[in-house]
Amino acid sequence: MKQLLYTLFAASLVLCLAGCQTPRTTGMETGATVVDQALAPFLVVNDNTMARYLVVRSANANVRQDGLLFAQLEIQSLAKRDYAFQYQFVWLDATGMELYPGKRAAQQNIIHGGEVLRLQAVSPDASAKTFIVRIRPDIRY
Amino acid sequence: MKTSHILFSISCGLCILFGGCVSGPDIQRTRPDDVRTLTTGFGASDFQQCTNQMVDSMLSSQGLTNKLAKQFGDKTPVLAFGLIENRSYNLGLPLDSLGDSVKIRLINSGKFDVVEMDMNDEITQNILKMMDNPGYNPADVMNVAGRAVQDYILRGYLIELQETNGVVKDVYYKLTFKLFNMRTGKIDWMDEAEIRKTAKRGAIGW
Repeated sequence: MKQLLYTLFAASLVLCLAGCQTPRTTGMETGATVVDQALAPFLVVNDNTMARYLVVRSANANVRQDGLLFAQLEIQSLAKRDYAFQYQFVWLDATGMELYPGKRAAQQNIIHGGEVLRLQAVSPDASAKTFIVRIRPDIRY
Repeated sequence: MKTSHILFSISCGLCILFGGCVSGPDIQRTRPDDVRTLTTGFGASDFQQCTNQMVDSMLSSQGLTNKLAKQFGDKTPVLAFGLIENRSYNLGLPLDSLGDSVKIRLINSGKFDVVEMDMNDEITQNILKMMDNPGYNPADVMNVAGRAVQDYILRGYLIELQETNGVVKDVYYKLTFKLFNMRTGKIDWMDEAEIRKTAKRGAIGW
């Protein structure tokens, strides 16, 4: 009887843990870019748990021929499994005023284990001079 | 035996007591720009994501920017928005509104002058008919389009593919946009926004 109970307990534990497990998605990738230290003063981390899974490697922006600002943020996963997150680009003009506040919805993405991902966006108009990217873990409802 | 009966009665009573506290649905306001994934259907967040992806792609396309500069110089080309055709299983999707969101961003960008398209107009009907024909002749489009006000027509299609094996359901949406140049009869830009959702049934339960 005791043995049966132990077996049942072990089986239920295995089932519980199996439910939580997502497959590992790490692999191999070449590249030599180091994490851009110049970004450090601009990086605000409010979620230390998320900072254990994601690192911002670099941020680039250039003004296109038509005056629109093209922005890119390079992030890397430090996890071995998939990590779901949301990101939102916010555009500011030369005076620091936000352009069309709340009009650009957050976007959802999944980064595989160890993967480097580039998030890109284009400013709504040519008056954008600065951009901010907000990243947060994906919320399940 | 008696104690177990008492315990059972107490637990039943507690269940009824706490069950009674659930008086109705929990209603709250949320931010419209937040992402929600509730079902495998094409929801509000997919709608917003597609809009962002397509407009970003169109505005950041260096090829299109070069073509615009070459053909129109300082003049702002006039763009008319055609229909976004719904080829998904969900026939009630308000794709006109998706078109409106795209139009708003294009107008704000200053890259195009956007006009409403008269879908009942004969010229428009003929042009759209030609565009939907995969073997259309650009010269024919130019002949008809010569009288049209717009320099460009933007058209879209939403398709849906579903796969299931009883445990996992995989749904794939693809929104395709084509930008037809009415003056050359060619497609100057084209892109796709893809969304894939998976619903997995739990290992335990039914």
